[in-house]
Amino acid sequence: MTDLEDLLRETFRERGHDVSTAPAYTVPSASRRPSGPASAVRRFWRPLLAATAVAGVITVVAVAVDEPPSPAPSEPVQPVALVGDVSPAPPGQQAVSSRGLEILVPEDWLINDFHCGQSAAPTVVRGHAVGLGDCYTPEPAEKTVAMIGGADLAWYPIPLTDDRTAPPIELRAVTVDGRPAERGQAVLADGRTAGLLRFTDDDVAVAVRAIDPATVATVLDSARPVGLDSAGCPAERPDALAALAGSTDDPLAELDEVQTASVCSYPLVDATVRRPFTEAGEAEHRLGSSIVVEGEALERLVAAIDGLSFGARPDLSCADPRPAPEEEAVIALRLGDGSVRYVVVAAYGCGRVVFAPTQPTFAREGSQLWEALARTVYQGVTYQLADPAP
Amino acid sequence: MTGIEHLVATRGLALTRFAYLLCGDRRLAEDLVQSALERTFLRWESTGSPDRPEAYVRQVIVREHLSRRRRRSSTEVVVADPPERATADEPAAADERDRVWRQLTRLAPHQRAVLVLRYYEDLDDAAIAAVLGWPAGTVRSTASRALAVLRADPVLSRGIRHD
Repeated sequence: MTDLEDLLRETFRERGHDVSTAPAYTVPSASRRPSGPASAVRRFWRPLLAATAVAGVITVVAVAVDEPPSPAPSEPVQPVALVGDVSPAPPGQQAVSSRGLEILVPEDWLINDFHCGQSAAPTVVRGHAVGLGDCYTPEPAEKTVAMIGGADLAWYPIPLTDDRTAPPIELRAVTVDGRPAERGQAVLADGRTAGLLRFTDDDVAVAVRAIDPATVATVLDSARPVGLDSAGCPAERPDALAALAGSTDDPLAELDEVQTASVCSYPLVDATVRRPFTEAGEAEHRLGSSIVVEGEALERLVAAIDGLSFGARPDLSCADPRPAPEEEAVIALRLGDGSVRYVVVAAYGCGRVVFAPTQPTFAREGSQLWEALARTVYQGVTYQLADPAP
Repeated sequence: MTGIEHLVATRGLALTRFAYLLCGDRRLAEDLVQSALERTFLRWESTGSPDRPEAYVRQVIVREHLSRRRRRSSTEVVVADPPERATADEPAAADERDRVWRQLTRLAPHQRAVLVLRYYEDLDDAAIAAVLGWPAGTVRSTASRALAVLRADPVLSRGIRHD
């Protein structure tokens, strides 16, 4: 048996030798003519020989620069890359992540069909829906649920009407991509199998319950830690406002060219775990939920962003100030040419403000934008800011 | 001979190989290196030689490659045609390496970049993070995901030892 990493090293070493010669690369040398109003600095190009014999393509580039020449950048100019590429899930499946953990579930599972008013349809639960309190809607005994939350995630359903006595679950030590974790399963009173995978070096877990034990095992087997999830969203909250400061990319100029969007939601309250809100009111630093937005949902989202009115900074004083600003959602708008534009939604105290980097001022978001986000990102349950636990 | 001339004379081939492993296409690799050398020359002219010129050029190559891939159509796939070669290895071993090379095209550009930096350049995650401008945790998780994609290949998985 071969170790994959050794195989990669061997493959790269072997393939590197497919390249046995290098071309005669060229770089410029500057040369000035006597200056005048219309004179130009012309760069002359000198060919550089590689260490081995010259063969193949010789690339020559000539550039004429008007005097005075622009100062050369001291560092490579890199576009801001807050959100990564979308990684498609295998056919028939969807990738869902939260708190740096991603699982694969069938593509027909609903998102956050949980808590009050839930149906019997299979669902994956993440984000704010995990931390919701009790509800009088019992979880159907035939329902399949996969839930991503904090390490203290309960692996059994606890609606008020359920028997809260759960069978013990024996956890065994496992590793997932080299990370230490615990995993186990047990049979619930309603006959479903419940499974739990919990990381011991991190505050994240996934719990699954289903009639078919194979479903539980398959979902737990798919769990992987991610730094960037399949929607391209970072598991750790980015400092988006700082990163976009000075950006020249205007997200509002090319809304009609948006092909897809990723929405990365970072909750402002610790609502993805069943724990009280911290006294300091610290914003959650982890990704709560994410989604790739296409089709009609994308049209609604783009229309909502397009409908924002930018103007003077609104009055954000209110009786309940929270730490501000904290990005609540980073929306990555992907254009047809592959470039990405960003819109950041942040909460200040009692309101939400939308930042478009090149806009000198802000817009207080309208309900249309938040409704568009709620219907796509949060789904199932209407989004609400969780109140601090007593 | 200037600094950059010396760099190209002594390391041009190595840089080309690196870029080739990154993108899987010889012509694109040469274009990346040429572009990186031009940027490096501009920096050399304005602020002096970078502390580690070759590392700087590699960084520019990687970032330029990832930047270009973001600007391309999402449906475009770089496919490398492995040349025929004689090998002294057992046929099975050579087939595995060929399979790995082909499966690398399934990876996202940033995933492939992390693997090249880790398993060809032998950089640790902190160094890779510095090259890409990422958090170290993102490097780890990206590598993990890339390896998972390769391990999921039904042909490779038969011959690979799993932890």
